[in-house]
Amino acid sequence: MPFVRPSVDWYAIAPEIAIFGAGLLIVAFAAVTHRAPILARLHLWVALTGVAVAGAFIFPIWHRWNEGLEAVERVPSYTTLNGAVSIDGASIFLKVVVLVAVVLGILVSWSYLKRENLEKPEYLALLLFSASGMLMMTSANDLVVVFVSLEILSISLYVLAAFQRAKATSQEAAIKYFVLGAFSSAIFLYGVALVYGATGSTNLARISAVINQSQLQGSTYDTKLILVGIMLLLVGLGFKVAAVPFHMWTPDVYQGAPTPVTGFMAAGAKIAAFAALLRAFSVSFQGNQDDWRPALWAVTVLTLVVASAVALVQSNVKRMLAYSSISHAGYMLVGVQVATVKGTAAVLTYLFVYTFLTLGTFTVVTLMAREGDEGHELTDYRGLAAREPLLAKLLTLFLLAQAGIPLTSGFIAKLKIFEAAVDREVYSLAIIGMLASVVAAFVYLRLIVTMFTGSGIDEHPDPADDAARGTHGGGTAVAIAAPPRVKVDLASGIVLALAAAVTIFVGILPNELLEFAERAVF
Amino acid sequence: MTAIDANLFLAVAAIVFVIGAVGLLTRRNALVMFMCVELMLNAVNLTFVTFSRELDDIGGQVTVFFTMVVAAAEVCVGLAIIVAIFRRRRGATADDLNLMKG
Repeated sequence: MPFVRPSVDWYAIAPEIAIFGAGLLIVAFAAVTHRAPILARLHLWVALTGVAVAGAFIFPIWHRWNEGLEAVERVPSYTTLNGAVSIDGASIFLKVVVLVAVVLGILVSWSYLKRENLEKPEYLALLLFSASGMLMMTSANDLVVVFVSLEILSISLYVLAAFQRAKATSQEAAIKYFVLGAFSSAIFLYGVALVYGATGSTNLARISAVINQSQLQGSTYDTKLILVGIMLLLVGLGFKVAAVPFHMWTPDVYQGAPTPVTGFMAAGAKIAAFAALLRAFSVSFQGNQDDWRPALWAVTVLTLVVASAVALVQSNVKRMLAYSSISHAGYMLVGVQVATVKGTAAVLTYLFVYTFLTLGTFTVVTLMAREGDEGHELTDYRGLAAREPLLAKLLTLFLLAQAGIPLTSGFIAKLKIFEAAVDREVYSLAIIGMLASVVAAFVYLRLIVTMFTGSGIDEHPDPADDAARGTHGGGTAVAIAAPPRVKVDLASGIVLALAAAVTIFVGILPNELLEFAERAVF
Repeated sequence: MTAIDANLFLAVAAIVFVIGAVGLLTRRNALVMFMCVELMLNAVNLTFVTFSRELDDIGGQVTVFFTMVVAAAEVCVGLAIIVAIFRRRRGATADDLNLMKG
């Protein structure tokens, strides 16, 4: 049998190559030059250029997809590399969201790295490698490609979590993330093996064809085997999106990792994992959805309930945001659970909104923390509004949007999720989701109230007040010396302005985004 | 030569996978935890190869190469993290990693 070379459409994977190439360029360049501050700036520009080139390469893909969309007889999505890579609306949409997360992530990191004296080229290179994995994952149409890109993104993130080497918490976060990440990858891979054994292929399109065929003609494969495989895939991806009960690592890792890394990981890893979840479950396993939807229902309910409840008792802001990101995962899981086109569009909208909100929030948290990346306790946020009126107002905006207050992007995202649930007549999830968002609103309001109480300077905290909030330092009236004002540099300023603008714009005029998300389903 | 039932291979793989998973969750030494991850990944490899042979499809065997590369990369990073921790405090047990709770 002659060896047939699969056709490669280089345009389809050009964004990944551009990002990965920029990362390699930084590593190669850093290996042969001295480490000088001026070079650190150069690395930053190489990284940003790489992202820009990747963004530019999305245009030809988008153009081709769009043409297919307009010509009715042609299917808009196409695959390349022997069906392993699929370019469709969802993958283009999510590629754009990933690139947004990378740009914002790099910009947030910049002032942080300068402040912590960590301006090492490896940081940017790892960020880009991780991003290339995320990009690949958005269009991965083969479970092996999903696995490999999952590992590319995770392994880079393990190192990034450990990047503040001098800090014990950073190391602890890294090892916890690593052990549980490796554990979940192994479970995911075992799921891939079992699905392969049942259907004879790791290609999602072929798996889907086998499942659909057996639905019509009676089972042609081992139904138990594929069900166990699908459950293992769900557990593996559940770890990555931090769904309860697979969320144990999230608070520790979010708290211990350098704050910009936390922001990037919260946004990017979730986008990638949800891309895989949507592609595998809502599309390929559509045929036997009656088998896996009850299990996903249970995971979703647990995630919504536990995350909102546990977030209430957190005294560390980064931990609190970790639980809030778990609860966001819960809402997005609702969109996956309904397994409809509407659900998919809702998840895409949510991911877009969530990326800006998370990175905006973590930018404020990064700036607030000051040198050493300490000061993430809730008590540290007392009187922030008096000390830093602008930062406090922005954080309030991001938190209100995360709570889903109308006229913010978060409201639109949640609304679409509930709409999709009601549309599929999964009323239970819609009701539980709404109740959970009421509870979650208290979490965000607690932080907002903390920011707007106390003058923040030379204040004597009221012991009773502190004890009522369950925070540290109750009973000790310490005079807090006025800390120097936080200096917002240009890069962080851009992130904050962009995140705030998108949050308000999408909240008031959501139609553009919603239309694109609806057209962008697989 | 007698043919061995493929289910035996799958059973062995499943047992090894469970040993790895249980070991990872119960052992406290970070290096042993790593070995457990390797056990799990290799159990998956055995499963892939068995299915590949059963289905007469080369795809499963090719996947094993990907798994092995990924496992190697994972160990590199994991050992580096352990060494970094080991430099700060002697000993590499998971019980010492308790700075963050909640």
